[in-house]
Amino acid sequence: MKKTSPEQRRRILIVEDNEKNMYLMNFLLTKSGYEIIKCGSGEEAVETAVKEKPDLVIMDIQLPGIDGLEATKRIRASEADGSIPIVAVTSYAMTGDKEKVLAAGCNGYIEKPINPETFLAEVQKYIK
Amino acid sequence: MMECYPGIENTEMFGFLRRCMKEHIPHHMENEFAFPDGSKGWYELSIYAVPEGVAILSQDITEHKRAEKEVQFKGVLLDMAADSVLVSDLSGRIIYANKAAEELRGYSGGELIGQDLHKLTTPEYAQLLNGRVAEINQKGVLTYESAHYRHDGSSFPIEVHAHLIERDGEKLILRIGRDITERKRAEERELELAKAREIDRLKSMFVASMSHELRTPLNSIIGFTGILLMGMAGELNEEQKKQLAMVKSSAGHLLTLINDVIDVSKIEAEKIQLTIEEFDLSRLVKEIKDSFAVAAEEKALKISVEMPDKAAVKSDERRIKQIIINLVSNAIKFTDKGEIGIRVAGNGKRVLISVKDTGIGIKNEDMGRLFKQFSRILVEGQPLQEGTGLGLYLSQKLARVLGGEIKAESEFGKGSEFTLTLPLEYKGG
Repeated sequence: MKKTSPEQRRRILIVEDNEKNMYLMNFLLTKSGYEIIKCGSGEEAVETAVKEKPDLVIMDIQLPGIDGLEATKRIRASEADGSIPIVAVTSYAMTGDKEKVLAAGCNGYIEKPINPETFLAEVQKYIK
Repeated sequence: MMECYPGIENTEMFGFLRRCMKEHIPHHMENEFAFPDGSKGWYELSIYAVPEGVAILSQDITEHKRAEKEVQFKGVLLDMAADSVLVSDLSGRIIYANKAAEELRGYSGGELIGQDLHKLTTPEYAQLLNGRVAEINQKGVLTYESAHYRHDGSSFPIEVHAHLIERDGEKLILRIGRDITERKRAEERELELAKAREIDRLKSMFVASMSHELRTPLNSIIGFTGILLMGMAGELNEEQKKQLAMVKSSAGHLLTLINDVIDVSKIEAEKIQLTIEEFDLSRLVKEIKDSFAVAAEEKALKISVEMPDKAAVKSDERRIKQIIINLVSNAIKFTDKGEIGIRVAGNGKRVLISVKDTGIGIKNEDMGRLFKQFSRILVEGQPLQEGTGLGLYLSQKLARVLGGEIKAESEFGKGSEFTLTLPLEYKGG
């Protein structure tokens, strides 16, 4: 795993309402040297993403309030250049909705349950 | 008279004239005659005895006769109609009933005439009758459903088209009725079917949402077990690794079961969504083969593949992958030594993927149960294999959704071959 120096640390915004899933992703990514910003709702995610301009947003789709699709659309709408990579985390039941995820403006999706062995490699794919 | 009308003494009329003169009884007769243009007409002749002899009054009744015939003809038409035709006054007293009206209710020979429609109607509809009469009187026409009694006391549903008519200034109601027993039955059957479908749909929805809830905790079980096994949360000893690997395997099994249940409920609710794209089947099969490398190695099984370098297929890659994974994992599960052979071949329209093993095989009597849900085949002397009993059932359903089919051939003790055939291009299931 490539470790970067603190000043170059990549920042990832995780949008997830389930505490355990948040802990899991946070653990894996922090251990790998990323700086994590956490959000528990779609509304909060839109505000934070626009303000903080993270290097990646990991977006859960099923969220209280506005869902991940809507949050993604709003982030895309308020960005000047649409440059923040957003990767959706979808459950198996949602896979038929791959098109919906992409249409909302996500760059791709990672399927739940998260496989720790492949998760980091998948995340890295989306970071510029 | 005999001078004026030679030969009159031989006619029938002459006999009447003589009788009238002798017995003073008036006589009427109607006779047909021909107009100069050849058309038929009728005249009436009345003979009265008068003091001077006899008076003969003659009248052309052609128009009257025609009208009478027309009425008779219309009566015949009404009697031939299959629908019940009833005419009643506003109080419900029947003054006309056609043959169908009688037959439908088990009456004959004018028995319905004079009866009260209220008494021919079952109580629940009889109480509505006066209101309906008022409505017919106001609107002129009305269509409604009712139930009428037969002569034997049984009843039947009837659809009535009622019209307000007038005769000599008296308001009457014409009711054309049709027995709708069959239609009612069909409606009831349809209703029951719709109810059954709704229950089925609710059941599938329940299963789908329940499965989602069941899967959420699995996300952290699988995730954290993985982290622990990777040593990311600290070093583990061999026993800890072994036990955690069992937790991970069981969690994986549970996940497969839940996913299968979701898929089955989606297919049964006809809610499965397909993603149709062109992909290389050979690449997919290679990926699947590689993903089973460890499992095959553990049982010292060889996986051989025979396929073209590239095989373009337009279908749902994910679903096809699911089917092939199911077939290969079954083959490994039920094979202790030998090899698993995967073969891909096409014929221009269809593609065939076969998975052949040298495993325990399937007895002839078990072949019929292979694709049934929750059916698991127990072989004597063999442990019952871990499974959901949904794998082949689901695979076959998916294959059909994709317009294909899975066929199985097997020789007990020697091995099995499962062949999936699919259209090269998906064009509906």
